[in-house]
Amino acid sequence: MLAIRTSKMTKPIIWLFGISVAAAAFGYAFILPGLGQTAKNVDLGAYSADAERGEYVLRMGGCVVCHTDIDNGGVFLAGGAGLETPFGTFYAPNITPDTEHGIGAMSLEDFYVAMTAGVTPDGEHYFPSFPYTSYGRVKTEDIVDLKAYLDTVEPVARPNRPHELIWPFSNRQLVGVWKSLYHTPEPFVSNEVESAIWNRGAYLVNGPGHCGECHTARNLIGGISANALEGAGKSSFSSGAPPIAGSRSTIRDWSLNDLVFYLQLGLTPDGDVSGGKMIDVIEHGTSHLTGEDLEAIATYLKSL
Amino acid sequence: MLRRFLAAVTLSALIAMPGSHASANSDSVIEYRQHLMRAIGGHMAAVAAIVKGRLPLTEHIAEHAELIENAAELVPAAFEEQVSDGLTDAQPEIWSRIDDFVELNAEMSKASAALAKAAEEGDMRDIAMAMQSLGKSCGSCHQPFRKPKEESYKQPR
Repeated sequence: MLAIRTSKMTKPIIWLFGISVAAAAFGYAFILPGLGQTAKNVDLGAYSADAERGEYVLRMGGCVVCHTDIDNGGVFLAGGAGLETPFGTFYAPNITPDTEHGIGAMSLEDFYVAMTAGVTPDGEHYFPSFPYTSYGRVKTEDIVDLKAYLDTVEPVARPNRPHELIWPFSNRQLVGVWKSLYHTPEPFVSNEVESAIWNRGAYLVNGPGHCGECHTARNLIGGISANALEGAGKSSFSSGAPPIAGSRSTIRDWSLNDLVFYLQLGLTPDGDVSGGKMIDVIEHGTSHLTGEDLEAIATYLKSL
Repeated sequence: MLRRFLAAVTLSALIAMPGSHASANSDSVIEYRQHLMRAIGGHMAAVAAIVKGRLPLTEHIAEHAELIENAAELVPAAFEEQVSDGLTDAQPEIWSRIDDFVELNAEMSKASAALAKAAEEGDMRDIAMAMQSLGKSCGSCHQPFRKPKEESYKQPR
């Protein structure tokens, strides 16, 4: 389980902070329009969908890890186990094409807006436990392919479990304010100075792979508060994920080959195994990627 | 002659140390457990180095796998005494759920035997798969019974 822990000491601080943020934010929440809704300028019909490639995109995105209740043998993509955070427990929904409980009724445009802007087909905000902050960088063709693949999955009529959140974080309108601070939906832009393999790695890590969502420290309201990928540290809001960039990087002494091997099998160069949620990320995500893509990820991470 | 005499004296002094029978020193218990685990990790790392580096030492893999299997047999006794305080990442749950601990240890024996078998047959794909399940078996025991890295005694306080 991804352990984002809160000590008893910090609870009152969260409350105080949460309440003051809530008070300040209520004013804005109604002024700010639903941010995003970015599908307007994108011609989704320009791409011909490839469901087989979409299955690969699913693995790039690590979607299975949260949307399947792996530990309890849950049905593939029919909804996940809880993600515990200081704001409460989030339950990733059923993303099989069941029209009632899954996303079968979502159009491609709905899906695109959900992934990049974090807005539901009804115009509400998704909570940022759905990492649209990273998925906003996913290439349009990848989103189109992913949707095509998800349409081919066996539909499962499993009702979604509601999130169990602490007030005021349970208020979806406040997410609008949060987004104005922490979500800038911008497509991935290649760095012309770097190699093609480096850019592929940067895309996989910062876009679909959403590595920084766990491997970066967050502040009291769950916003990214430090340099990307430099670890969540031991703060009260820590996911426990270690730094994988910067001077404290735990993979600094690893070779490119070590890193590729780790993302395939979960074995570290010193003979240990990955811990926590990373076990699932490797088994249901990275181990399905091609050698070239893993090398790209490793090349990028080693450069940070 | 003198050296041999001194050695004999030192040895007998060590053996005659008080308390060495009743209850072992907890630091020594921890030290032994950690070296046993490190030995297992060392064999895993050696196998990984062969596979990663495509070294012409594939026939060593079966040997390492057997050594892991042998080491696995030493684990239950190494953890017989409850020592969860001090410079250790062992969680007290080991002793409150000792049956699960022993069961997971048996899984590890099986997984290492499977790696030895795959290695003897020599198919690199099967070897990689067997390594993956052995790694998973390590993880399945570390997850409940070893402190996570960020809570490790090794972390600077």
